[in-house]
Amino acid sequence: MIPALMENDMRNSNEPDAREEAIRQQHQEFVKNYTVELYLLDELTQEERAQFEEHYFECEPCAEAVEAGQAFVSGIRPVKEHRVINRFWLPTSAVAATLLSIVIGQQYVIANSKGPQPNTVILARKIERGPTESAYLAKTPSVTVEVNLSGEARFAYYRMKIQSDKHYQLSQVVPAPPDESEERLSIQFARRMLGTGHFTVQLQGLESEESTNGTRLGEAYAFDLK
Amino acid sequence: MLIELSRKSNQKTVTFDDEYLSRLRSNDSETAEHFQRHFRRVAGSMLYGRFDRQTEADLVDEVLSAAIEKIMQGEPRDPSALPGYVRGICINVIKKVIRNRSREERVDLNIDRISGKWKTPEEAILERDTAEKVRRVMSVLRPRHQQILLALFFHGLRRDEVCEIYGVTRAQLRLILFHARCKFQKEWGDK
Repeated sequence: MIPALMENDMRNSNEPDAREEAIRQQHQEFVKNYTVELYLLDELTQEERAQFEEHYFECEPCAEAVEAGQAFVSGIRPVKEHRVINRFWLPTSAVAATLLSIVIGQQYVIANSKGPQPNTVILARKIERGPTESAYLAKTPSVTVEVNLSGEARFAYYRMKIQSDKHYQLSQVVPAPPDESEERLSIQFARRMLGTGHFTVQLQGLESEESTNGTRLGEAYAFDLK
Repeated sequence: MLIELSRKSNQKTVTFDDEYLSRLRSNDSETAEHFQRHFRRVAGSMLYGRFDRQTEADLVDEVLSAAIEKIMQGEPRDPSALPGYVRGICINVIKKVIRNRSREERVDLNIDRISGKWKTPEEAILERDTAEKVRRVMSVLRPRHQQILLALFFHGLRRDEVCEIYGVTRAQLRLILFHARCKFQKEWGDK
């Protein structure tokens, strides 16, 4: 991945100009190979990592890029808070209130946590394709449920209704994927919100975020959580 | 000593040579300031993610004072080897901490320090400022790219998982990060 470095050239070059030129060339190679990104993504071998560290110790632009990259990746947070609950139907208001407090608490955890939060991504499967093959074992604080929209009519927004076999339902409006080519709709929950069991997902297409009436889409999806 | 103004970053590019070392040894303020700024940054980058914030800051200080002490004693013999020399000190400091940690597992009762939340008011302001700049950059990225970066660096998914979920290659992942990082660096430039 990393170009053969001009280590010998650099060691042999006592002249500042020659050395500077060697560093400059090395810098260009590192830039061309996106080495800063490889470094941030931890995709360099130990040897390559050491070579790059040696380089940025004497190359200010690379040092600046690494420092900025580290500040950037450690500061990444969701851009806006997820609105998880639009409606929350439950058998009794008391249970609803209890669950609501759990949901809000958990949502706070997701939105405000400082470090990277482990997350499990669950791809809900179309029901017409038969029963879900295996249950997801999600022990992470958050869970992202994804639905593949291929073949569905396209809308600006979708209401995703997730029905649990424990007789409760979560509902949230999510914007359509920005690109036509993107087919996955995703929604993130605090893990404890979902509990365990069998879940079905139904979609309604909406013209706007505030629409109350939507077009029910034909496909239903399902997943199992244990 | 060659000092030139880099057009792009508007920063002085310094060549580590005899003159640089002798200026450092004679306490030239400009050179000392450069030494502190540059090596604090690179040592910080090298230590990044290995320790909590306070330990990292303490270790960077330790590296810099050890380096200065050695420089004053006439090290390194080859001035152009200065960056590598400081890096060597950095590696030794990391090794020493790891050795000590495994030898004595002490319980530190200062919770703020353990969790890395301890910071000075100045650091807190800087952190808020950086967080705001990251947020600004994230908000102008394509939503899909936002999701990918979040999955990688916020939710902590593995790279191959992210590639599989979002249908991207490692090279595309690299590019997405590159563009985001460049945007951020532009915003961050005036820090």
